[in-house]
Amino acid sequence: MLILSRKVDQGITIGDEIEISITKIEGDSVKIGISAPRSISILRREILEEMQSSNIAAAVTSVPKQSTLKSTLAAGSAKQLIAQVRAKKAAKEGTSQK
Amino acid sequence: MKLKLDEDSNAPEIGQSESRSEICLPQGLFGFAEIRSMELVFDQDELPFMWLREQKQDGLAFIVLEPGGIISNYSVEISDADVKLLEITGAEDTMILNIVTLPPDQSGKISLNLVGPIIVNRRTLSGKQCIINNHEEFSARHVLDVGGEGL
Repeated sequence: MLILSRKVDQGITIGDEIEISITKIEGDSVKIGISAPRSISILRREILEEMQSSNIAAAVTSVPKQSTLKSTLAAGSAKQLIAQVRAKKAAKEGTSQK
Repeated sequence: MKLKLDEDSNAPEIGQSESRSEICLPQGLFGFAEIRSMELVFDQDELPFMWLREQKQDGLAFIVLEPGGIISNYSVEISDADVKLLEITGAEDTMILNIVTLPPDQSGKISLNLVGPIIVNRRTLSGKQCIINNHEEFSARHVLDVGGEGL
């Protein structure tokens, strides 16, 4: 990793289109300004880490053989939501038949 | 691009009555970079919940749902780069899938990742897990409050 020392109001350019400037230093916190094309995604690293841990937590290890979710979705709120969606659909079908 | 959520989107129309579709995920998923494709499987009786899983035995699987009509006040803004990559033209050809995390015990609450939905082009069936531009408005652990949601 390239490590550079910069002072407030100094900057770094990366390639032709990305510019990073140090705008403020306060205690252990640094304010950084970034100019880059809209197509480049700029994210705080924590959010990527949060997505990774969220996906890992969501991964289902014991998948039933059939395409049924029933055993996995035993949680009461899941059943409730399924029932609500069904009821909503039934109500809608009812109105469209009139 | 801001995508309007179809209130009735929890009736997937991909492959019409078919209950399985292969979704290409060229960039993998966060934490699972090696994944290249998964199968979206659903049973009418279990909607809004669907499976997104690897086609192989004992592969990776997630439970996902389309948020339309389920999560009130949810909106998704995806970057121009992702719009271009996925070749989506608007809400009509876009499917939003939020990954569901089940509680370890049955009495717990179900949570949804609203920050990083999987965005799928319904025509090409190619998808990507995108961190939405407006991610600061939403939680990656949104608790599904069944009674209180806008159903």
